[in-house]
Amino acid sequence: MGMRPVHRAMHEPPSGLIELAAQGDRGAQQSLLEGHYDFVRHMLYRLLGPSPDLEDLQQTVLMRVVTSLPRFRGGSRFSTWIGGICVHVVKDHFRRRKVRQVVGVLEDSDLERGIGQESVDPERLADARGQLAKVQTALASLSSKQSLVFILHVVEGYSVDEVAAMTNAARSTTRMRLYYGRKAFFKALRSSDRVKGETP
Amino acid sequence: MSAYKCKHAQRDMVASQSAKLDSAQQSDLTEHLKACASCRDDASVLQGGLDALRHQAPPVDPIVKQRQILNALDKARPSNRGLGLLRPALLGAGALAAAFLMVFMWSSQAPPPAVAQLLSGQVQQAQKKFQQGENAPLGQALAVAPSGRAELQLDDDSRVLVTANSEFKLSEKHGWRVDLALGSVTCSVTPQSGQSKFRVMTPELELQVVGTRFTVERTVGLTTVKVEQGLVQIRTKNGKSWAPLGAGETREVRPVAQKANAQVPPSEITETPPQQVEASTDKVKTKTKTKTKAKASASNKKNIARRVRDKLSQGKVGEARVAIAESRRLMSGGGGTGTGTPSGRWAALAELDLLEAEADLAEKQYKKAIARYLEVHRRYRSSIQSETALFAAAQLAIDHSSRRQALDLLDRYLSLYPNGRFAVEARALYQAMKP
Repeated sequence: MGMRPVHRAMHEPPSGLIELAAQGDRGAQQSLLEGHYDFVRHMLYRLLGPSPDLEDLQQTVLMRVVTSLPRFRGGSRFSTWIGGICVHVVKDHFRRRKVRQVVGVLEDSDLERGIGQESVDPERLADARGQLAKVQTALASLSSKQSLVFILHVVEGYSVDEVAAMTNAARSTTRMRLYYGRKAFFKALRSSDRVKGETP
Repeated sequence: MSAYKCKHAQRDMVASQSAKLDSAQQSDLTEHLKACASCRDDASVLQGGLDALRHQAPPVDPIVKQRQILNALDKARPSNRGLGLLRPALLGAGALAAAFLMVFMWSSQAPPPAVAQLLSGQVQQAQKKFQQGENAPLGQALAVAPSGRAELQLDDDSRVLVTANSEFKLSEKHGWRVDLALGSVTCSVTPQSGQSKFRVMTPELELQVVGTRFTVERTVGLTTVKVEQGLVQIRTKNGKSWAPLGAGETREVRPVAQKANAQVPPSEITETPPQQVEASTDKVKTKTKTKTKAKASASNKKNIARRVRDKLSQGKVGEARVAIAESRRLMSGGGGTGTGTPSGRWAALAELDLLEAEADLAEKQYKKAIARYLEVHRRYRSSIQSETALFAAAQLAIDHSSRRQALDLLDRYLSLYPNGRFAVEARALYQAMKP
């Protein structure tokens, strides 16, 4: 029922193209960037939310992809590798700004895109906004590391191994973060219901 | 069934987002959700909230997309310049070549002559042109045509990329030396051996490195150094101590001659117009001596232009406009400093007009800025600023004018500067916009 995580729909570029790009072929590099442009944009958007820094960070990611290509060994999917670069750029950004903003405020147009329809009826939009607010509140109660792992695994749909590779953490550490993150998430979800006095 | 609790349901709800549950887990979860209202509510919120979270980013203009990709490629180019994975192989080959060269030198006792081969483009010495594959003459004033660029490979494998409208001189003595009179050189320096150092000289600045990548740009009385990799050492002309400049850093150096009683270094001759570079070196030297004094005051005016740039970058548009007006007054001969070489004044005026356009841009007067850029392009046709202005106008037209005008301007840019500094980007933009 849920939306399919974007990275699963990505086609892996031919290894010859990656090799050519790693050797500095500008055409191959351009082709790779064009193929993954939307993926990078969407991933950053999910990690950052609507942010004025989105364009800058996207530029940084694209640049790092090109400069780091010679270090891509093919040990993971290419999209996972690019996802790792997105994660590092976003982490750097948060560290530099000394803020932790995992999910930004969404506009109605964002919600409509999220629901997958244009011009949905206002009631459905209100429901979606309410559910999103609860999820956002619950996510905000996690530590930055827990929420990053939670978003990558649950929202983006990456496996634990992939998340571990992307965040430069051990598999066991990632599982721990996910476990405690999940507990904290549901605890926060239920407590927000109690505070608001909403009936299930 | 009874062992399946809320915590298990939460685990499976989360797990189902990234992987498919097996049938047993799925049926346990379904049964539990039927029985537990809290978990049912959690599941509903989780699914709805996550779907909203998986929103897609707002669509992006294809032109912006193309521009971002090209920018990323351009910015990433320095570290890729070493041909990526081939770099170790090239370094190994370089080391072998160096070893072979040492053995050869030891056996022959005669150092081979220094060679700078043209990899691409062409350079001009007086009326003589040197094409791709030929060796550039050393110790001679060279120029690159307004519509071209030249890449030279030195015999130590270092590379020097010289942009259009540049004037420079190459020489070799205890390491390579580039004397940049005007324009821009980007140097990828192979690690130097022994005491030799790669050096770049401008009228304002001396720079030495042992192996790195950097760009030195000289416009009107201003030298800018941008270090992309490694570390370079710089000092002002005739300065005593060297200052380090690291990767990512940029330093701008103005001539010291503007200070009272300051001695104008003889090398300030390099401010000759492009046409004069074609004349013989002796002729240039003679002209230089007579113009040295005039250039001191010219550099003073250029400093004003520099201040204008600073104010613009700080967003003080009003103050910038005042400074531009003041600068214009001085340029036109007011205040007793209206001297200077015609070419220097001409270039400084072009720069000021560009600044005016930037001020318009800062005030979001896009149409006015486009018109002013085009005026700079028309009026200073053979200057570096002309090319910059035309491309800037084209870029502005993409976002703030008609598609037709943008296409016309890009087309004009590409026909005038097929190998210009912005040709790659202009070509891509043109392709992206073409109906």
